[in-house]
Amino acid sequence: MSGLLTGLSVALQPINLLFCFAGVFLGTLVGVLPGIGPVTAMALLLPITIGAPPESGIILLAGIYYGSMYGGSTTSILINVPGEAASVVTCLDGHQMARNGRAGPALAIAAIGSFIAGTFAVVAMSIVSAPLARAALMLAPADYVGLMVLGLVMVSFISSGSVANAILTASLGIVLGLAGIDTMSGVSRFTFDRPELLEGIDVITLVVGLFGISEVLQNLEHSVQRRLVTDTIGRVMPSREDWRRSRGPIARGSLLGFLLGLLPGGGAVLASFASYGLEKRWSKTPEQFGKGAVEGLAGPESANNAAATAAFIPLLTLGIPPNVVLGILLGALIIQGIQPGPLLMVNNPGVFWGVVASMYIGNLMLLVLNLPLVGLWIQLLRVPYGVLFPMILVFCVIGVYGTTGSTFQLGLMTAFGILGYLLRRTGYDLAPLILGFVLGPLLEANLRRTLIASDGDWSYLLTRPVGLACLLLALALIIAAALPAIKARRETFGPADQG
Amino acid sequence: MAIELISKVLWFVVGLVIVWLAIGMGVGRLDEPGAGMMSVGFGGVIALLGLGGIVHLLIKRRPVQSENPGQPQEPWTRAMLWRIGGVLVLLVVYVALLERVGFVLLTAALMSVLFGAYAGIRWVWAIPLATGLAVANYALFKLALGTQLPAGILG
Repeated sequence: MSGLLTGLSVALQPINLLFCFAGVFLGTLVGVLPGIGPVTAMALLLPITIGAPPESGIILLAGIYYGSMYGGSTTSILINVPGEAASVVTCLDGHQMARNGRAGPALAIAAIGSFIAGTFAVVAMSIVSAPLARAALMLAPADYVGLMVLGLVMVSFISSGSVANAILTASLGIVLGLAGIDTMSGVSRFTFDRPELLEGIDVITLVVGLFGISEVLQNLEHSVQRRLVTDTIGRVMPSREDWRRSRGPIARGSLLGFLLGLLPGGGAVLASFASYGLEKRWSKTPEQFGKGAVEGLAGPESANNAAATAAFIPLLTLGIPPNVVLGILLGALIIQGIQPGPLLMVNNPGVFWGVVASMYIGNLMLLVLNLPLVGLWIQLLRVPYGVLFPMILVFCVIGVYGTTGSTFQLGLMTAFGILGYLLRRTGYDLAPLILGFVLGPLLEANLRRTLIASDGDWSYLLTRPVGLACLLLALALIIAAALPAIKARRETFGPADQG
Repeated sequence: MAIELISKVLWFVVGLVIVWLAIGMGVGRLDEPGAGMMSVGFGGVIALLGLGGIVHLLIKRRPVQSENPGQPQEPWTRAMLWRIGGVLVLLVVYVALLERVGFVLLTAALMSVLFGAYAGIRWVWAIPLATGLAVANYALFKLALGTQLPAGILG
């Protein structure tokens, strides 16, 4: 409780309230605009956070993440285009509600369900984080190896395309993450005699290139026809019947989303699909799903927001980012000189509890922001992509040059943009690549520590209970992915990148 | 089939190159892992999966099931390639000239061309709009937030 009070005293400082507001506003904005996702937005704003106090910078980036979950639902409901991957399911019934003339109640249920789920997850997070961090102190490097392998396999499992393709991109990400001088031996790796690469590939350059530039290139393939369902939203507040039908899905979605968000590699996309499946099975009228069922909207919207918040727990308590967005947040923390993990609560209580408390406040801000500003978001959707993408390109340049001051890095960004575009075009998901890049150096450090400590006995990896359980689960997932029924189902889920 | 085969061949080659470079870094022993050990391992994984993909495609001798059946990719068209290639060429030129010319002038020029050519905005509007946005970005990021941006010939 004292931790949470510390957090509130940090989060309620004027500068942090301003950063929180800016974060959730920008998050909603990028969630609304289909041409730019939370990953790109966070990468672009990463340089700005370097000059700010650590807690303010992280509050801003966290706000973008959970704000985008809210914003993504608006475009899904109004124009059937998900602003980000976790809102894909919202299209199914949310858009149908709008077509039936019920856009207002659909937006309200999405916003209120998201608020309740987000708040539930923040409360649960403040309860479970401390015991989890204490337990994490007992983990050995071999356990971390198991956790990271599980995280990479989980992301490969839920990403689009085949698992083999996901493992390919994750492996490439790991190798890219190892570039630069090896701190243990002093050997330079994959630097090709370029001094700019001695400290490794800059995470901002890689992420902005792979997501910002490649997204622009992909969108340029065709002009997206955006058709608004309605210019006027009409009555916003849901009816009594809507409330009655939403209560259960919101409660179940919140709990399910929170649990799935905790898993390494889990997250908002997985949670929203799982919640939709659960509600359809639970419902007495499953035939209404896909035709504007309130339950099909309330459940997934709640689940994706609960999962987005819960995903902070493995990052902050174990130092393991469960998805690509939080991988960028890990990068931001490290740039600020903060090492996430079990000791974060002890060494930087202001950062840990400040971020947790800011989520309470941010969720409230989002509720106040979303419904009255729906008109503004609709106006934004009218901005043609031809006007939007030159600005995105300029933001990409500012983001990379602003942090590195190097045109070499801009060239590298362009090269990663082309690579990202070609990978997407040929059916490869980029999320495993980024997670591999972020986890690669951590995986190597923990694996080396384990091997040195065990005198080169690799079987030591199988003697730690947590590590062994994670490795077995990872193996089970790889085997499951090869089963024809599961293979067919997971490949029809579509892209799961963007966190 | 052809694109998939090319992509698998490229993965195979990339994997081999990684392994070759990593061996040069020193693989070490299990009780004393070298700088190249992990890269050899993951480069090997890339090469093996690439090779497996090539064999799979050659044995099947037919297009494998789409990687992403939910979102089939339409083939590249000439117009599509012109749009993408045009932006890439402009971006490369922009990067090459950024420090010499400066952010404001070059950004105004880039955005004017993109607004005119891609958004179909008349030049008489595109140029002032692009200039205004370039100046606004410079004022916000360089002057207000202290982000480093090259002033170029205006500096």
